[in-house]
Amino acid sequence: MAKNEEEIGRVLRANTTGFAVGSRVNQLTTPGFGSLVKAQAAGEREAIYGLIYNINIDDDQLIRRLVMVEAPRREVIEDQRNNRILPIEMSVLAVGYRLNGDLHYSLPPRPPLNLDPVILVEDPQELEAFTRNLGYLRLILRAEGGRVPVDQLLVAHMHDVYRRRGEDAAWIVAVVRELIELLRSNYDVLIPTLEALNSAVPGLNMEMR
Amino acid sequence: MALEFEKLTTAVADMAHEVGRRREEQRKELDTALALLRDYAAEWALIDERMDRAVSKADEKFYRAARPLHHEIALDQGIDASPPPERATIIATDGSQIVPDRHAALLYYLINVGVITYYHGSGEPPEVTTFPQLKYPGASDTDAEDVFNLSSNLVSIKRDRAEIVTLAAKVAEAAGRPGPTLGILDQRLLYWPIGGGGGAHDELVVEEWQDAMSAVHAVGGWLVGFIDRPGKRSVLTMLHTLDLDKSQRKISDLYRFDSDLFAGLTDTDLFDALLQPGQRSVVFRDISQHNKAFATRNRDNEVCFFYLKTGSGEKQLARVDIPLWVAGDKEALNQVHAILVDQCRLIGSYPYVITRADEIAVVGRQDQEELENRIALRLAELDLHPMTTSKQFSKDIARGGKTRFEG
Repeated sequence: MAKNEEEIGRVLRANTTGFAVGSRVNQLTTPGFGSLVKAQAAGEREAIYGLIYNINIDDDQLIRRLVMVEAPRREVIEDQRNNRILPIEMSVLAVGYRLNGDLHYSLPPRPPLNLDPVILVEDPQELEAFTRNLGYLRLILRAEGGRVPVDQLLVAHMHDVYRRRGEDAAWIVAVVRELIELLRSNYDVLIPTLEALNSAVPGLNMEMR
Repeated sequence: MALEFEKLTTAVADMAHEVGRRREEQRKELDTALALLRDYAAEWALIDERMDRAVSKADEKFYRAARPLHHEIALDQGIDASPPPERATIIATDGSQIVPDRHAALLYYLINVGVITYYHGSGEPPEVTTFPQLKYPGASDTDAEDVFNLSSNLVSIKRDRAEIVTLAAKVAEAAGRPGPTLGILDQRLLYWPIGGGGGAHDELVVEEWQDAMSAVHAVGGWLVGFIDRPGKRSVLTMLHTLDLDKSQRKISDLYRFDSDLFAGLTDTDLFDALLQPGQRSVVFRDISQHNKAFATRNRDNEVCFFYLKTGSGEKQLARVDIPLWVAGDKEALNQVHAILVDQCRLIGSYPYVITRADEIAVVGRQDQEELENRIALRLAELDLHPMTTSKQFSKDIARGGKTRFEG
């Protein structure tokens, strides 16, 4: 892991289509729904890229009792968030991997292992390199019909990358065109995705013209 | 073979009938007890005279009662909590253990003490930590080889000792923090080792216990033992003693009908009926042979107690044991009451710090399996033959309990 990379948790369980990440509360400040992350093995194994499509925060009996209190104390809230072992669980959809320095936009040959660190992809060069090829969009669309909210995930991810790439209008226009191509026979996903994207990325209409 | 329920049909019906009858009887006896408490509420001279007489004549091995510490507030009064101090350090410890099993592949026992230090009024997160101790034959800090033939009671006694010694150390560490420091144990302060075998061993355990109490006192800390829904009937015994002249019983026989007293009611029933949520009773001195021994060794450690109505629900009541050095300091007493009420309100009707200390300390079955797996792996690294049970255990760990990724 490079010095400036931010670990957001570790792999709880995995298969080739995705993995679950366990995080502490203080690791939840940066990653969000739609963020591009990678499970990075400590050795020479491949890095597996994925998008966060769900963040689950569990409760327990004590939390349920505390919720009933009119105004929980700061000390108690801090205790619950910093000391208690209730991991935040993030579900990640695998969208590609890096092997021997080459990027691949398909499912990885092997899933990550338990406790492999998971890193938020923030490095501009790495982000640019991975999102340059839009082949990974197919893997997102492939999850349609399952538990992944595909249209919302697409919008959140595209908006996040657009921003991180310095409001790269050319990139997002290319993404929209790719989506129109991929979803031309699935208006149920295409239309709400484009509508939501239009609201999330001001000026997109103008660029499309 | 499954339990043959049909053979218990009559007994179950009889039991239900008896529960109903007993509850009715207890309702009447509770009225009697409350009436007695009101009759003698401020009869200080009479209380002193009759309790002195009872203590001198009853068999001290068995006579366990209470008497009011102060002669100011009537016994039937509930006392409201004052606001808690702005700042305080509240520390609670609790313990858990794995007992030695001589039939198991690995011979050891484990004691784990959990501590939470809660900085009331600071907005800071509490500090939590654990102190696990692994004991095995031949370990340098193990008491003796034969310790591994100990009963679970003896490990529990060691755990109890570790709880209060750790608490005393943590209270000392907190010296200098803003506001008072309160140490809370999730058990009685008037400690006596149960199942310790008696004699010198038990005396030594009590001595160590009292040393830890004195250590808290020495650094200016306060100490309480919090017992949720206690089964004591010391105050009821006191009421019965005060009214003894009207009964046919002798003082010397007091202990013999202790369990029949007021149809089996306990002090919990009495004070649950008397106190409003957040209120406490007056402070009582514990009258028992054990407490006499505590006071003889160190008068400041004589154990007193009050009852505290922790919530609005039925029998949400606790007994709070306090040493004389807290009971005799009215400001300390009021603040201890206020802090406990405040702690109970954080989660409803039980102190938050005790809930957390228990959670931190507990060693579950899964922890035990993981520990034994690690021991087995270290044995294998040393080229020692892992015992069959441990090997099997490792396989269980590797193969069992896994879940597939399901998003």
